[in-house]
Amino acid sequence: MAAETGTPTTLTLKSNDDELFSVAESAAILSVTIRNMVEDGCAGGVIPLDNVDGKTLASVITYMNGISAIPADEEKKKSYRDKFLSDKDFETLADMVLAANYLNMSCLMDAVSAKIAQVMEKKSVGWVRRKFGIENDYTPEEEAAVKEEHKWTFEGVETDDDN
Amino acid sequence: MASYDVPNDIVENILLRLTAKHLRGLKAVCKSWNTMISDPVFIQTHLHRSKYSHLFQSKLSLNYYGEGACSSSSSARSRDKYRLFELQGEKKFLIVEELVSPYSGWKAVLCSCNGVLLLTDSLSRLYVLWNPSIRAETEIWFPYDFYDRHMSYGLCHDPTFDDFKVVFICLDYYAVFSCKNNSWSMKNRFSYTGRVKNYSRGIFVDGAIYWVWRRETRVEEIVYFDPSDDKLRVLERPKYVEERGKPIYLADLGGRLCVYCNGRDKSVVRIWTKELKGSDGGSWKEVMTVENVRAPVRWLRPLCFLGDKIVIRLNVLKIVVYCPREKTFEEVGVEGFRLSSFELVPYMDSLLFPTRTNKQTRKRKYIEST
Repeated sequence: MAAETGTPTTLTLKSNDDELFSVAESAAILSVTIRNMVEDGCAGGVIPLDNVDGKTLASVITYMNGISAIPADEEKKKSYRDKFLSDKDFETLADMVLAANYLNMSCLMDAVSAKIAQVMEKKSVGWVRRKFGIENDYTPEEEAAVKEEHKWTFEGVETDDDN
Repeated sequence: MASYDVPNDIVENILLRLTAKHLRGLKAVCKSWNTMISDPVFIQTHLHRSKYSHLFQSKLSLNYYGEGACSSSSSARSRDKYRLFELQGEKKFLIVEELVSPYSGWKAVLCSCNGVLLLTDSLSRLYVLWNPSIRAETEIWFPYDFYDRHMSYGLCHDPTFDDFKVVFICLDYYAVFSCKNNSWSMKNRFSYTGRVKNYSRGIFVDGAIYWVWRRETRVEEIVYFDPSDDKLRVLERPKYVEERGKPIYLADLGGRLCVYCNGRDKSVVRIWTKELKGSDGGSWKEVMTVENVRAPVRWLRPLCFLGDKIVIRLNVLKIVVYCPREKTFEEVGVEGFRLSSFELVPYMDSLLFPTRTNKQTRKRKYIEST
């Protein structure tokens, strides 16, 4: 592989909206999905990633390049991840968590999940439903009962703007 | 705004990172989230995360302070308060939350297990299990006539049956309460002379409860309660302890059983922790030697590790960070109040709580001689 030949191998990744990206193999194999393809010899041409759009893939590749440039120092990697995710909104994070899941990148998956958890802090039940696209399947009576039972947990939670 | 159909396992991976309090509120999102958050496996995984992944941020201490020494006075109007501390860096403890106990008059925290505490008012036969993270509490009524002022207590969670068991030990007997069965069972003392050492709190780690057992010959051993068969057994001690026969003390250090005692003289304290079961049969490993200690070892309470350092309560008023390389103690400030008369109890954010279907009947039971 790359380290043995001395010249870095480049892979071409294709998003589901047909954007093409070049990325160093050494960075791309952070994704177990891509690594398996490389090991099976299926990475000769273009690697199609059917579940990731161009915008998200660009972001993931930025992360791949950034994190693989950092030597084995967990502290520095962590601060890179924190900085990388600091300005992302919920929608971007949700796209990224799905992409990280599809690409099987556990470090990104964990970091994004933690960031989403942080964004969810103090958010109302209504906000969570909207963002996660969840339909409220409680009857009004049931919902009132569940909310009443856990009333104290809503102290300090932002108020809903639509319900 | 776009919304996302995020698969369940990804949602679960996100929710596991939230606090127990937040999760209880999110039960209102929809039925499937309610089911997920109530699932015993989810609860156990959440606990595991809070226990080990943020060792120091989330391993808080619960602290009791009374409203005054005289509990019978009319000024005992407000309920007892507890404070939750978090270590900030190496310099100070901060109060992150103030909690009010579920009943007035409940004072001593007897023991704790996975975020659930056993409280007593030491006057009646009533005990309370309390999980402050989710503000849940349940009463346990003790039916036996134990004539022992020095009762010892323990609390454990058996994940196999999702059961909490409360253990009371006195001189001649011990009794076990299963929350799941909602009933007590009485056991004869195990065939061993001696008793639980005074003030030896039952330490719950790695699925069992541990106490220091003092034999009539004054030799101190470690006994443990195994929830799989409700038996008490003796645990092998570190070799050094076995050979020297010194007084020993137990603590929970980051989810592992810790034993400590004086070393070559009273200014030296040696600390061992036990590997978790399964790894290599749970052998003892000497983890640290604290030198230049100017307090009796019985006052010492190892609280937690901080990198290669250790946080120790040196005496009732002083918490220090000890650095074994430099052999130095650095005092940790506790903002806003005095430490005296506070007992620090290990605490963790947890969704766990015993499920009890029926109320316990309050009926006295007599110990049958066997």
